[in-house]
Amino acid sequence: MSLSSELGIVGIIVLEFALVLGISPLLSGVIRKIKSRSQGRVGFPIFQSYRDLGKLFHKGSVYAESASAVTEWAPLISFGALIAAIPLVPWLVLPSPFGFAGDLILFVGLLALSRFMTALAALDAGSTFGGMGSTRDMWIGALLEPAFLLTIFAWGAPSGSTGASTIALHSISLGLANFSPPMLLATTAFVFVLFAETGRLPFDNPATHLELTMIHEAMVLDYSGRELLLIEWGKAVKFTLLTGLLLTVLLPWGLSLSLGILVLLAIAVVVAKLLGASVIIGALETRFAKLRLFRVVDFAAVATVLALGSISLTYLVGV
Amino acid sequence: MNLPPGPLLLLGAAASAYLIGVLAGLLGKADSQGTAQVSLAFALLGTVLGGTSALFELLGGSVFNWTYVPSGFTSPDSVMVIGIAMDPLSAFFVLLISMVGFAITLSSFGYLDKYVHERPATLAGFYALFLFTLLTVVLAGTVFLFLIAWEAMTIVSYFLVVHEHASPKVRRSGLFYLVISHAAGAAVLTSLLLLAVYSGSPTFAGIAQAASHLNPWVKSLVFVAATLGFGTKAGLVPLHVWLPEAHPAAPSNVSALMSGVMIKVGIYGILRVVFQVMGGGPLWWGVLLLVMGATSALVGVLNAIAQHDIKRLLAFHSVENIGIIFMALGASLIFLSLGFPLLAALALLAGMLHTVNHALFKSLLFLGAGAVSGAAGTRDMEHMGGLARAMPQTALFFIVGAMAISGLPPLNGFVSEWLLFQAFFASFSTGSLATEVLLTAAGGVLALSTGLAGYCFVKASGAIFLARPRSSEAERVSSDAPATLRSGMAVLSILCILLGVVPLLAIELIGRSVSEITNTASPTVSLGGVLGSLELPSLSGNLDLGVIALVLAAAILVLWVVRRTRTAEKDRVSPAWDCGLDRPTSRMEYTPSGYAQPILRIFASYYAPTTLTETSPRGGSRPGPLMKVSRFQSEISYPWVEGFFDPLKQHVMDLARRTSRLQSGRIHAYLAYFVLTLLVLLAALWFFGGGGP
Amino acid sequence: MVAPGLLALELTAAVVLVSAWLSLVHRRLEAIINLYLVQSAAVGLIAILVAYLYSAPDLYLTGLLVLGLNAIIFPWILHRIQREIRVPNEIRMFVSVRLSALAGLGCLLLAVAVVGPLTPLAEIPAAGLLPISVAVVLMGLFMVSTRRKAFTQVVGMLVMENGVFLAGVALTYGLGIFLELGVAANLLILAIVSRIFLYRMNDTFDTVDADVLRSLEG
Repeated sequence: MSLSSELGIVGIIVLEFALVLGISPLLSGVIRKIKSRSQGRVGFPIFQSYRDLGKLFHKGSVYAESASAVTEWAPLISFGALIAAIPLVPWLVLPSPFGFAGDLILFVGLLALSRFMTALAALDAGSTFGGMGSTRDMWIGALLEPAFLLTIFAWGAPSGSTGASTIALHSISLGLANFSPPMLLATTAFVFVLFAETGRLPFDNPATHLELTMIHEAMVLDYSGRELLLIEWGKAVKFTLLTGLLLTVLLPWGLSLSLGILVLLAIAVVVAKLLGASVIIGALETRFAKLRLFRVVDFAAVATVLALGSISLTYLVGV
Repeated sequence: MNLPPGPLLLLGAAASAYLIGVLAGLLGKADSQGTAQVSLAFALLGTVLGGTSALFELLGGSVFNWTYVPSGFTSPDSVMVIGIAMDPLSAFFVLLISMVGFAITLSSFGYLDKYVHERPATLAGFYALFLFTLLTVVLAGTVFLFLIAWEAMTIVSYFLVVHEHASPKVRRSGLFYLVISHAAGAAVLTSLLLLAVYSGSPTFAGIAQAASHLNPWVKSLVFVAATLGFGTKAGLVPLHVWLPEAHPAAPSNVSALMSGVMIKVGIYGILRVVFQVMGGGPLWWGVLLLVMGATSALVGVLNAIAQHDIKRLLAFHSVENIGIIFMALGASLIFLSLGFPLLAALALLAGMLHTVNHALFKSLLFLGAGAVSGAAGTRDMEHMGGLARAMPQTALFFIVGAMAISGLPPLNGFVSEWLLFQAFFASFSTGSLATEVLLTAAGGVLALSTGLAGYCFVKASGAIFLARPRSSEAERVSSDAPATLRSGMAVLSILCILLGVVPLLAIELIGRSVSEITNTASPTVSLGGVLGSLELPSLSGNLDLGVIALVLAAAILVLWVVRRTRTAEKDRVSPAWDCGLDRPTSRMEYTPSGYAQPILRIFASYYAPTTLTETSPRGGSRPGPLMKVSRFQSEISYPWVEGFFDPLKQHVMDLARRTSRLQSGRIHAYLAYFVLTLLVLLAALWFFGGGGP
Repeated sequence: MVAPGLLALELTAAVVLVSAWLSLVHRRLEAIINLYLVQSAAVGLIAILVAYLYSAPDLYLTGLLVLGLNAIIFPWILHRIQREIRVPNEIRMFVSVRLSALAGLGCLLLAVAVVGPLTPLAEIPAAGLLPISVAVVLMGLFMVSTRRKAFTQVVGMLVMENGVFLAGVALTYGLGIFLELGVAANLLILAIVSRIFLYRMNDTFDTVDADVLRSLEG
């Protein structure tokens, strides 16, 4: 391998980090805008999220008296886990230059690490609402874990691999046949997972500030300053990661197959796809009302079972 | 005459060290702290020697067999032959016992302080003997020695469990443990004697050679008996009931050794008898183990969530993890019977790696539990809280263990679960719908139990270490655990991280026994990457946690540096905001039971909780016209105990009561029994026409 | 490379499957009627697709009939009945949502295991079509047997009918126009009868809960 191609690979990875971390606040801004509009409000400007994060960056933190070192470190690890998950999904180039580091099961694991840390951090201040949000976030995550993993099994079954790049390449080679019945079932299951993992309606209302109904907001009540910045930004990054994964499997077209100038084109395509997906997800979210908390269990069960159904249909269609 | 090979010499030295430790502990003054330390020091030496011997064996590959035929038994085919043998499988378990034993023994020095007036030397002596019997079980080359060592291990561990025998609760738990272990011992005895008798060989090596000619019915009988016997020792549902009773009763270093190592000896039994000696069997064996494993995983984690007692919680997590290991063994048997040896090797590797990993993080967590319960004076997590500030290092080690058991990267628990997920995923290449659905569903169960384990350990870590103390004892804790206790935990934490980041270290050592059992030449993983990555055959997936750990560390470092840069405002400390409530107190915190409540509610049909709410108009700490004092109590039920073991116990007791009529107390009656028995035996001998000696 | 037409067929069949599955687990009656609408539209689309792909002109008519009857008129009638006799929106089931979801999987697995090997017998080489249709029939059957309300049971029957129709298409390019007309006529009668039945039941018992019929037992 020549030096230039190695530099290229490093460049691509840096570009991918910058892309995902950079676009995440924009995507959450877009979704908020869509939701505001559908409710007849003007809403925040779509770039408001960047200003919010910038404001938090300049603020000092207020620590609770009862807080330990966990308050300081857990947000760092939580955000770090999300960063480590970024290169596991091919964003610009296929196969992903960093794909050797791990597959989608690792992706699930890193997301779980991130959640573990935020849930632990929420307990540190010893506030009532922190505990409430922490337990809710953890059980919803735990119950959706089978659906998430089985979706990956279902996606991976046709290509016989759990690696994101291999799955995406297989999707491309299938062409239109990628839109098969098993894919429809697995994607339906994954949309459930995506909505729950990113705390959207009908699972959690990211816009609410009523303590008893919320999950994510309750966890961060006692956080401030740069720790809050990391948690809020991390939430946006998680949304980008999951949406990006869905797009990679469902619509992998437009990624560059080499390290050339086509990468620039790929950036435009990826940004367009992510924005489009955010608009669709935002519009979809307005169709739901908040679910009673314990109904979430039914959602998790349906998602798991749909993923299993997808797997049994894969058997029929033949691998 | 040839000199015995190096590993055997080392083993001999290790055995001597243990026995000196035993003698010192049991013969010296029971209350002497110094004697206890000498005894532990020799045990520590024993672990080092034994571990080195196993490493030699695993790296050098010198299989040895040493058999002793007692005089009077001229035929070496007689069952009563004593012999030790070390093949890769034994060596792997010797290494496991020694490695984990080393860390726990190190911690035991610090733990002895708690037993100043409770015969520390006796504890240390039995502790050394326990390690010695564990080692003998996995090194036994003959059925006879195995059975002796197995029973000795049970009895010694019973003495350790009832060390604090002043408490009636401890005595009851100990008795419960002894009775169940005895029943399990009978099952083990049945399975091994069946093997020895039908194959006509007293040694495992001999039985393995004859195994292919055995009657399939006998083999299945052996399998069922072995599953019952070894499954009980391992803690497989529904045979797990002794575990949550015995582990909390024992001193914490002993619980660590029992949960980390002894229940793994049950796994060793299954591996030895079902895999190595019999070489697998029909499909239903694997399905049975898989289903029992999946049940254990779920039952274990669900019960763990509902516990307040930290050691009971950990004991139930042992049930969960044993379930995961059995799922791997079941999958391996299924692949073997369907004719996919490579996939069988993959699943077996996952199971054995998880055995190591669980040994590491579970003993780490038990040591941590011992440290905090010693400091706070209670095992009830409801009365802990806020210990992270007084015990920062213990908190760090415990959280590392919690992350490892929750299967989070880049720690060791994730690696074995990843391998197991890959084995389940590979069921797609078997081309059978039933296998596919079964193993994929098993993947779902594994994902669920891993997720719930994460939930449970956020609860446990938070309840113990975070927020404000919820009792005056917890408030008074001012110093971290003793240095030796912490160093033991440090060793285990480092191993947890090391085997996560560089799993090849362990996989290389396991690989030889895996390829021997499954007859696959190629190892299931290949070298590569920065620190050795895992790549599976046929492209199914890849994992390089070394790189991920580097990225993670770099990201955290950068974030930390940026975090340290100056801000316009200064950081400050203030009371928790809590939505503007007036100075939250520890009574407003989420308690462990509050944290667990949603899961109790979701799985109410399993827990069948009974709740009791009382509201009294007066009394309590702050009665007033507007305040009533309420009391809420919630108990969960244990269907496996109430539905299965309690009726069983009732039947046994009835039987005992009826037979007790035989106990007339008159000597003539007893003599008559003797004669009667003799006559019945003779008649049986005549009837079956037994060959006799 | 599989022909795009067949792909479209399979994907539309999968829409039928998913909508049947979701109506099994949904708790709101309105949503279930809408899911039935989507499902019927997909079934009609399949008929038209098959007519186009295999040049079977009589299926065009059948497809249009399905679109008109099952996707427009039936849902409209159902919505009206629901409004007029004020059937509560919340579904009452004998089994929980989780078990229903699992039962859906059971139906699918059964169909895949039993009918999957028969797929080569189908005239249309879209592998998923036949098992999916059988699974939809089974899911409809499950709905009929586990819902308390006669109203929801009627929807279950309609779902079954969609499944039967789909199987017919997969096996023989459709059952032939006359047979299909017969089926449709039957269903219309069924719908009318059930409507009268529901009204009568509402008048007599003030409810459409089929469970109260038990009180008629001697």
